[in-house]
Amino acid sequence: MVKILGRIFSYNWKYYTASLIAFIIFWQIFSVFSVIKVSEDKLLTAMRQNAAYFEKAFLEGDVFETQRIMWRITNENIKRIIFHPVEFKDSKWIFKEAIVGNIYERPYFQIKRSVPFISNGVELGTLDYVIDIIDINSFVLSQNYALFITITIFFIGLLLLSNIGAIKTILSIEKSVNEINKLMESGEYSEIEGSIERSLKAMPQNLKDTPFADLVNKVSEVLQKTSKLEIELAISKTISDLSAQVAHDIRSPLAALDSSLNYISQLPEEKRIIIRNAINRIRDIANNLLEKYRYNSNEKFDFDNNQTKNLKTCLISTIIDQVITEKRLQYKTKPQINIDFELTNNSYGLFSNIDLVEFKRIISNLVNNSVEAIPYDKGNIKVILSSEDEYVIVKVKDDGRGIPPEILSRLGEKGLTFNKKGGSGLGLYHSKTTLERWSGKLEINSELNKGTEIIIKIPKAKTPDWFCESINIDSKTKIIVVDDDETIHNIWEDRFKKYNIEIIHLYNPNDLKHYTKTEKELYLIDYELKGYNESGLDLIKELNISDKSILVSSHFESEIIIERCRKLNIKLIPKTLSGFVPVIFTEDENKVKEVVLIDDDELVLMNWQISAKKKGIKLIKYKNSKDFYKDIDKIDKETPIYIDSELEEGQKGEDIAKDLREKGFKKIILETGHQSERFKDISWLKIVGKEPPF
Amino acid sequence: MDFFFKIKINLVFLLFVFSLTSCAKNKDDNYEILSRWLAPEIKTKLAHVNLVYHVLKQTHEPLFRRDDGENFTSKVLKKWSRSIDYKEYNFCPNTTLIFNDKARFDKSFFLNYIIETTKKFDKDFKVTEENDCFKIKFSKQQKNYLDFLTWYENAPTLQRTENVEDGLGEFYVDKIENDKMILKRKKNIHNAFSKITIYKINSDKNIPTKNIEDFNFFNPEDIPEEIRKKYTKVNILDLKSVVLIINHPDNKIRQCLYNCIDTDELLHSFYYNKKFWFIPIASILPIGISGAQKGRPLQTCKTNKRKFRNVEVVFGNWFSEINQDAMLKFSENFYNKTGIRIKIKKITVEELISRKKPKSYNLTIIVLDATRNDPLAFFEVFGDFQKSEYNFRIQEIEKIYNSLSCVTNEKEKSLLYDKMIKIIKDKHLVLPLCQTIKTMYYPPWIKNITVGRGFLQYPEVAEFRW
Repeated sequence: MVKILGRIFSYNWKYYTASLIAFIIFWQIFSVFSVIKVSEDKLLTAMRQNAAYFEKAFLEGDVFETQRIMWRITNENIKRIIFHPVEFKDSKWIFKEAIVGNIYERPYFQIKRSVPFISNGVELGTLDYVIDIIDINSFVLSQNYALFITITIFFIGLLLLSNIGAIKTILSIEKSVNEINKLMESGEYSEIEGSIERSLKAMPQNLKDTPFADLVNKVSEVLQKTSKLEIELAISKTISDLSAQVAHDIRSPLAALDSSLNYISQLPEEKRIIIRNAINRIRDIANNLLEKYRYNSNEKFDFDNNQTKNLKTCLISTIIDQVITEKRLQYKTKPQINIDFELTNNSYGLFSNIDLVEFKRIISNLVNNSVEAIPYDKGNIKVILSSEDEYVIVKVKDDGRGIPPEILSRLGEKGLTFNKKGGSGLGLYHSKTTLERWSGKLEINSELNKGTEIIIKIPKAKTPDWFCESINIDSKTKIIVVDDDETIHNIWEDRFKKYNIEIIHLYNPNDLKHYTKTEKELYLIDYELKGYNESGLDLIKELNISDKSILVSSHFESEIIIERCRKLNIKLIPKTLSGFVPVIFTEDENKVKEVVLIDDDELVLMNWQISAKKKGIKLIKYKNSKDFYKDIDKIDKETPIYIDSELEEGQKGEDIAKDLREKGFKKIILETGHQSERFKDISWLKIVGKEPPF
Repeated sequence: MDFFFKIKINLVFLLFVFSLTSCAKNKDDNYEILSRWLAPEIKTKLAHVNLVYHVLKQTHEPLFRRDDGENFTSKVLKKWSRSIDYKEYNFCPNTTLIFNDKARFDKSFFLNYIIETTKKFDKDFKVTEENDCFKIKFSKQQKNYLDFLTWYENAPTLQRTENVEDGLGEFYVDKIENDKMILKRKKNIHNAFSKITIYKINSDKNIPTKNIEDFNFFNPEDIPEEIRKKYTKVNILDLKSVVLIINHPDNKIRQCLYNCIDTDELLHSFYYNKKFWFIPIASILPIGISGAQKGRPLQTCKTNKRKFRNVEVVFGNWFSEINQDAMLKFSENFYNKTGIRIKIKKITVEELISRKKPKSYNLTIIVLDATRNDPLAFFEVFGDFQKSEYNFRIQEIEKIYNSLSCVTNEKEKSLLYDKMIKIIKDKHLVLPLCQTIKTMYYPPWIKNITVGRGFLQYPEVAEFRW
């Protein structure tokens, strides 16, 4: 009840106060005017009653008697009265006026009136009287205050009683709303309708058949529908997540199969085709599922997480793989057209600055062209990814009709098309111009009835710092593979077995934690370990093995994972490319190695000498390139040659390096104190610091 | 609600509240009066002296008041009643009242006071105590008893020091110094005066105006112009008659002086350059006192220059600072008219009011006044030789005057007053000159100044609020 009363008051206090004040003001003003009127009437009545006595005293000139009579005439609400006598001959009256009362002047707050003082038909003079409104107001307030208090209490009671019904209704509605809110917060959407029904039943009768009740019912229906939709959405998302998970998980065995394709050459051709097609089909399914997931979740296959028309550094193999999957699906009604994507060791780690959408379109167009060129829907299309010098090479080869030479020379011109029904001739032109914009090229080789080869050349981009370009090991390196998928273990086993090094296979984080670490190790750790909350990155961080770990993951497109890798200074190998990552095996340390160092700094030379001696390496030192060139014929082309970037007489180390490369030296390394960015133009040249690399 | 509408509502409300109470200005709580003279002592027996009466109105409270001239009220009695035949009076004193910190208005004091005071009225009475009240029983009707108890001379009083008496009024005399008298309020009240200071000021020059509330002991023309402009003015009938005392043993000379002196010329010469509003009167009683006559005295001037050739009369000029030349002129004119030389002699006010006899002058102008509506006070200078202005006794008047205290009947009293007036007139003892209308000036910010109460406009400062 207190709550209801409090609520009534809180809703209505302004109106109540305003109406109370209005009433008090009105009553006060009314009372004041009433009192003034009554006082005036009293005065005039008293004046008439005493007129004869006053006349007698006035004519006798008796000032004091007239004064006494004036006191009788006045009353408590008259401030003062002033008698102005008429003048006549033989008058004994000595004053111009006689005042009785309070002489205090209060401008604007005093009413002044004048009436003739008449006695028995003769005017003796005028009687002025003054009424002070402030005095009357105070007097009336002192009379009325008890009434005002009573009225205040009465109005409060009236207010409360008249609003109890309304407040009860509001409170019942609030209760209902609170209940619904609780149900929504706890997710019990199915209970909402029932709750509303119960609340409506509990409401006052007069509310039940009102539009408000209808509204509430409709709201509950909407809420129900919404909750169903939410459930469906959740299910859909779960399915979507599951599909993505399946797609990811499938990639590991798929990578193993891909890797194993190299070893099935002894099988008959048709068997090899079946196996290859099956593998391709599995890959397509996985890619398709993943694509749908990306579409739903807006995950972007973009290493810079910004799918715009701007050029971005992209891993070309992944893009082409995706396009090929789409093309296979697109042309699944032509099962005799084989569309293959050939990945080799040379395909690994090829990045380029491209517009992703445009590049896909180019590949897609080229494959489309090849399909159209193949007669009778039977043939082969191969997409080969490789690199040459500073370029990424993508070849699209088909064994279709081929293009006549006279047409071939003009292909790529705008509007020119060949053997394409409805072709606009814009596809090749667009591809060419786009590639040229990227500083790339498009070449076409074709022979009639034999086939066509489109060669795309685009400049290589610098490998992102998180990407593992190669696995460097030596004979003492112990490989520890941490993955929950046996097929991956098989891939790595297969990759490293020829080096005769120890490979340890671990399947869960606990195994890794219990593993006793030794000095020379390389961890190949999967990101996602099924059944465990910790990721591979968490383990690496926890065990503090980031300097000897490589993350192997099919989530290589995830910006979050890439960023974490960067922070931990860990390299990442896309799981699907596990079979292609170059392994650089360094010869046994015990074997004497020769290393050439060209540096004019005595200190550096001395430092390297000491370090090399410790490692049992033979260091051949040259202070300048001239001396080196004298002995150049004696030096093996496989010998690592370290060159200072700034030599005597202004010689640049990178110039010497270029020269040596042309001469056939394989391992040329620039040792410098400068940042490697400075030499980004020479992508093939390895940059190290001044410290000995041993 | 719109912002400006809210402001308006609040302003109206504030105006309403303001109009209820009407904020008080912050004023100095010392009521300051300027006077040319200070009373050396404050006692009820000196109530006939104007300034003393003014102070007594602040410090004393008579048993009864008759402010409207008709109804009796009391601030001293809790309750009172009388018998319809005016023989019995019952008074219940308010014993919470105090004279000062040490003396209360208790029952024993009241008993003693009522006995002593009633004795002055009528010795034939009895006083009995019943509960907390006292019954006074007279053997005969005493209609004037309550009126008698309204006189300040009969107010309850207690001697505190040799010069000061305490009463039941709101103030008490704190100190009397050479140049000022200070009264303090017994209990301070908000927005009311807590102190009254009466300053004595001799010179007309440099009359201070700042912080002075009351200039009404000055002549109106002496009040500074800025005060006359700023203050609220009220005209009251000054209950004073200005008369020329003719103190000469020879009635014939007195007759000549009475009939031949031009009253207007005398007034204008004596009050040279003074502007005041006066009303000619035909008797010594001023208008407002029963028996007074408006008009001029009947004069028939018959001169006999040879007869009065060597007669010289002395005019005691106590207003001599500025009127000496005018008076000499007046004297010359009178000599030319009648042959009587009027020697103008400078006298001091002290000599004028002193009771030393014989007086060194034959003629002088004096002001007869009273502090209440009682003609008796005006006959004191004739009936009481000790207080009179004459070097000879007027036995007929003395006899009547002395008998008046025993007369209770008003009509009888009135007849006796008329008789005395006739004797005075027949013997040419006094030439009535005029009565003055006084303009009183009051500060405009005092809210409680009520006029028309009683006939003597000495305000009760205790009632003033601002």
